[in-house]
Amino acid sequence: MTAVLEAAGSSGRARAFAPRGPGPLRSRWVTGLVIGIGLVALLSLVRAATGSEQLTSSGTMGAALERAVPIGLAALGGLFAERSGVVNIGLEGMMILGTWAGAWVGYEHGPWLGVLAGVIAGALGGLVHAVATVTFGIDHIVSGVAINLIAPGLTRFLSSIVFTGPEGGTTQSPTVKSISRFSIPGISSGGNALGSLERHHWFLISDIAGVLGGFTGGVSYVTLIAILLVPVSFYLLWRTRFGLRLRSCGENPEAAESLGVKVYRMKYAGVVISGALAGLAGAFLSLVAANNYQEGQTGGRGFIGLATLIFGNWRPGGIAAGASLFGYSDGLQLRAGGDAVHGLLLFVALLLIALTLRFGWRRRWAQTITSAAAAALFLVWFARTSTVPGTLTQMTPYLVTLLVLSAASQRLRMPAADGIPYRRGQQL
Amino acid sequence: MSDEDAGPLPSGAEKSAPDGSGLSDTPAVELRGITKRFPGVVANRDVSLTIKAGEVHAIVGENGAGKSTLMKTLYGMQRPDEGEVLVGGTVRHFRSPGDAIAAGIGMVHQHFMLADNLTVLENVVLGAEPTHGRTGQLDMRGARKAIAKISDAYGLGVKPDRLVEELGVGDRQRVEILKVLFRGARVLILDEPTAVLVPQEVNELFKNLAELRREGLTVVFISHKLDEVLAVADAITVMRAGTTVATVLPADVTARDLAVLMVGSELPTPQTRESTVTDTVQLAGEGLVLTDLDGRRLLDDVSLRVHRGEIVGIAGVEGNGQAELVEAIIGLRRPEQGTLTFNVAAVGAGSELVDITEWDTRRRRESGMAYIPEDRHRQGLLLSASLWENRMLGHQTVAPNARGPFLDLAGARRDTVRILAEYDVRAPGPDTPAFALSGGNQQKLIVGREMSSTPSLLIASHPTRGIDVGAQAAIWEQVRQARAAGLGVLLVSADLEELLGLSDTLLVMLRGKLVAKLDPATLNPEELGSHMMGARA
Amino acid sequence: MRVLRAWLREALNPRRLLLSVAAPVLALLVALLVAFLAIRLNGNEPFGVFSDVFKAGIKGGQIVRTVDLAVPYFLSGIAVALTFRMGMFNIGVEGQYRLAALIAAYVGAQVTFLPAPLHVLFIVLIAAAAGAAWSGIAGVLKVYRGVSEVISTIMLNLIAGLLIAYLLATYFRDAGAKTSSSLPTKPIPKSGLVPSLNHLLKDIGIEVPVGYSVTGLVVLAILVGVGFWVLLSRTRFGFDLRASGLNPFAARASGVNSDAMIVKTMLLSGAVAGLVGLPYLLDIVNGSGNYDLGFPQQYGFTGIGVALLGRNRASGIALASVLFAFLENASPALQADEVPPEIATIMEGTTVLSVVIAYEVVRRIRARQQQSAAAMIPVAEPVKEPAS
Repeated sequence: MTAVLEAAGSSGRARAFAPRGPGPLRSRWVTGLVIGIGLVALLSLVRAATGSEQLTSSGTMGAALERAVPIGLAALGGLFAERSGVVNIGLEGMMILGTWAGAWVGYEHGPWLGVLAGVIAGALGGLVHAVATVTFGIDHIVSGVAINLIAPGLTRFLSSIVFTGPEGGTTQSPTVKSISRFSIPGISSGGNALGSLERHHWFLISDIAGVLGGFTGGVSYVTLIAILLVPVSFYLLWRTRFGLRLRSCGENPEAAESLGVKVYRMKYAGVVISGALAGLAGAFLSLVAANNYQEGQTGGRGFIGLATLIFGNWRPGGIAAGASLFGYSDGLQLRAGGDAVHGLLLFVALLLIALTLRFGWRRRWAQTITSAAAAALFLVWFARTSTVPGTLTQMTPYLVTLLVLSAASQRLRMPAADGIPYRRGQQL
Repeated sequence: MSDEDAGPLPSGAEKSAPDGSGLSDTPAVELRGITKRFPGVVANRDVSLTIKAGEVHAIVGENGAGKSTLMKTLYGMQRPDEGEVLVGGTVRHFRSPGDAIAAGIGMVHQHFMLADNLTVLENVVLGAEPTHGRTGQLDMRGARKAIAKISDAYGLGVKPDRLVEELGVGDRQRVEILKVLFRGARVLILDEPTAVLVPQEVNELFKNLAELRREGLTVVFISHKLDEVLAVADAITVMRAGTTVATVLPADVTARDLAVLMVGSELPTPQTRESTVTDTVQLAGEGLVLTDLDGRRLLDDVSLRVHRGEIVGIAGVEGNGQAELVEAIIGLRRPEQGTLTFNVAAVGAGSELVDITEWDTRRRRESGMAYIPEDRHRQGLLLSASLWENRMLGHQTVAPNARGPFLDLAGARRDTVRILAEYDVRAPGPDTPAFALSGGNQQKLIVGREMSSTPSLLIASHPTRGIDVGAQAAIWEQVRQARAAGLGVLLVSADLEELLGLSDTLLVMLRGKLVAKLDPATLNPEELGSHMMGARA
Repeated sequence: MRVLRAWLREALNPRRLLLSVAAPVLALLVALLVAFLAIRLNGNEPFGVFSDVFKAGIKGGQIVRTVDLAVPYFLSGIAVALTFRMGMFNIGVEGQYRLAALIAAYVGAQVTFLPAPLHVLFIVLIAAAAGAAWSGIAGVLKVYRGVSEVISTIMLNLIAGLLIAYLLATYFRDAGAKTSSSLPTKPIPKSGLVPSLNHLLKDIGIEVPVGYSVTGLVVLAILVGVGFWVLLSRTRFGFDLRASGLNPFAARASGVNSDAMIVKTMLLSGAVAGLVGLPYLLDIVNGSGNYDLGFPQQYGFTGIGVALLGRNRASGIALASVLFAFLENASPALQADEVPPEIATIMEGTTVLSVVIAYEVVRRIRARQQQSAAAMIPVAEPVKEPAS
């Protein structure tokens, strides 16, 4: 009865939109799969309508995957840091360290050791962030910004010392041997069953074949590791002692400390893992997506990772979805150019129409009108133009992030103590 | 809530409990010569304390007497500068709460130490997680079973898979107790556990404590409410000025004796003198409705009147809309329905009622509202800023703090010096940062600044919470003087004695509604408690 | 008067003075140490390099270059500091100034009928308005949709970069330009450019070395700096702003309209940010006179470091901007010694990080001292516990 009293008297928006707890995991995965197939079906419809076969080709999907991996890894990095209560805006800088160290060691000792070096370099960047934010308790954003300032200067400096060969220089490393890729014989290579399915351009079937083809043909082993890291992160954070303790530091560090959890140590772990994952993302860029280190190679992907983390509501599944979305729009542009992206306008319009119907059915008139207007806008855009400029496509992740935050920031649930400097035992 | 009444409890479910008496010769806990210093303060001075096994041992003392510091030392949250801690007869050096937990000591904090976004289960097992072998994988099923077992054994009625943020105060407290029991604690420290409970909930808690004692556990009970202590404790230790002054048995003392031991004199009581209530309305709210994002009503058709020279007290279990009502009146929240009217005429200069429903906070303050917020650190002060800047806060648009759009720094400093003297704020000077002051002095500064701008309404929300007896008496006196000077006063408090002693009229809030209007002169705390719980119509 | 004397005594208290100087000095030492190691790593003799850089830096011409570069750094630092003082973080100065410079360059070049001083004023106002509009988006999103300005300004930076590329490629470029690969806008007429201060300085007896020019926009920086100081420490608005930064809840309870405050602060910060690109754009001697893809970047991020190093005070920001400009201009001297000039960037970043840490450490020491001091006052009440 007290509970009822309290609930009735309580205030605050956080409680108003309480998420549904841990929930039945299996049903969430099923829902995700159904939504995924639904989206591919809609995309297939758009492909049929516009004739842009590239929308779901295995080539596009492969490119999308390759673009999604560094974003997703950076976001997973952000996840570990922020779940432990430390905001990591330095992901970009740690990624830069990863690109450089990966290429340097990769050039000297082979690509796999390069990947390892990238991870270590990123982790070192994370360590600096941890020292500043956890031990000295300074503002997390400030420390992250400083790391983003230091990292590019440092790599440029080191490059001018290390990459003195004919191909290297201040802004790039010599070429590194590439990392092996795999295809599944008979399915995506050799007999290539998926490829032949795809060529028929059947509704939905060819599209799914394209998706699967992109995910199984010519895929780097590092990509495979990155994909596996999504469920691994979930398991670590939500199913192990380590994860519970780490998350408790992000929710209520005082409570955690009072139960004997070593809060500083957990935060250090979170931030260093965060850096390591960002470093891996960087190494992926210089060793898998390219064959050498180039200055500016990260291109703000650390920030997109941060955006993906928010888009994904600080959960691995959400991060995977966000990274796929951003990777896809990026990959499509890269692979097929503005004409194919133009087809996506229709896709978005159809999605918005579906949303309009849903809102209308629930009698939420304000939302109905807004989404109907947006749908109309996209339809007009689709009808009146024939291509989408590359700069606008590149903006997609940023615009989507702003939109998602504007539409749903009250529904997003960041860790309660995220970004708040924590001092042990109420010290000054 | 009714689980406790379900008859005899299955005993000895978790541990082999000794027989009911269970008082062995070795004390459960012994503190010897504990001294703990903080910058500029000695919080504990050569404290010695013996707690027998299987007893409920109360530690009383006023705010700032050093009770919490002592318990933090016992629980390993601080290391003492001198002295030693003995548990079960052996000397222990706790470096962290983890060490104390390992030695069988558990603590239920005054401010609950729970993570809202984690489940009850996750909160309970945190730091002592059962895992599958050495893999580090959580054994959720085992944990759930263990929690159910303890919950049943002590009649706590805790549901493991709910999110903590969905729970009320009483349930949260039971989760805290369960957390401690889950770790196998034999000694429980409860820091001011009744501060947030109404009398009926306090009774439930005491039943739980009796159950714990019957199972052979030792309970250390910290409080400054003397009647509760006399009701529940087997032994009482009194602390004053950082040290223990006496250990007594409840049978041997009265509440009055304890008070004398606590503060060296009788406790001040909040009593107002003859009525000064006038017919002039100072503030009137009509049909105020405020809803949260889910559409639940935080304020549900609230109407009230405060007259000049009247203290209107608002009673209620915390979280039933009192905070929202205060914020609606000062203008921090905008009610969706209803009107607020306010008398903008100066005190003693007649009456001029104006509709202020659409006014913002600044305009309301400039028209004569003074505001003592419930949490001075959160809403009342700029902790790292100087005292003179804090004197300006809330009055930064008026003399002596401003001239036109510019600040009058000299004026503000001068007036701060006056407030420090007149309101007995003990501080080195107007440049001292606010955080350096004790809670009582901070509160006196706030009262001084709010009373310095000729207000006609004083909104006082928990004005004496967490401050020492001296400051408490001073603030009560200020409230009485405000009433005598003809101000209307709206007093929200969780201290029932304060409400009963000061108020001319008492309103009870429950689930956002004003459910009762009572005469404090003919009311006792138990009756008031029933109204607050909604047990009376 | 007595109050003033007491204040002076307190301000000049040697311990206090030592503490205030300790942090920046400590931070600079750390940065020097890092530079020392880096130079060593490169195989040079650090002290020799330091002295070469220093000698080159205090030559007349170098001082002028340092002052010129300090102007945009200072403006950028002020823009960031405005939001810091209010408890927010405008990371978006970078995007704001670039977009503002583009729009100011484009609009300024279209206007040909205004006389010189008005034309300059017009361009300044356009730039301020454009910067304010762009950062205002973040303010509005925060107030109405609860979006953190840290995230939104980062996103707006990235969007601005792409938007600039898009606008230059489509609408804003000067179709008649000979070198079109960098997509320049039309040049601003001479009436819109700002003259050098060399003559003025000569009149008051300061000789500027031949071939160098002190930018006239120093005046703009001084005006902004003085305005910043007056606004924050002497006006009611400034008090509201600072109170919101120190404790937003208490500020609201004191009558500050927090929503309006957020938007106003972001607009103000964006307006100052809009000015950051003007020294490069409008200086008659060294300025570009138009916007193209090669327009300098990173001023916005440097400004964050400048604001932090300068503790968000006008005077501190002035010193910090000069220091950063000095480091940035050290490249020629470093290259002469065959040291990679990136050392300067590393030093900047390290200074920022170490200065913030040093200030935090000093803050804690001082807080403890002040608490002890307050506790020394004879107290009638019993010993108090620490904040509980």
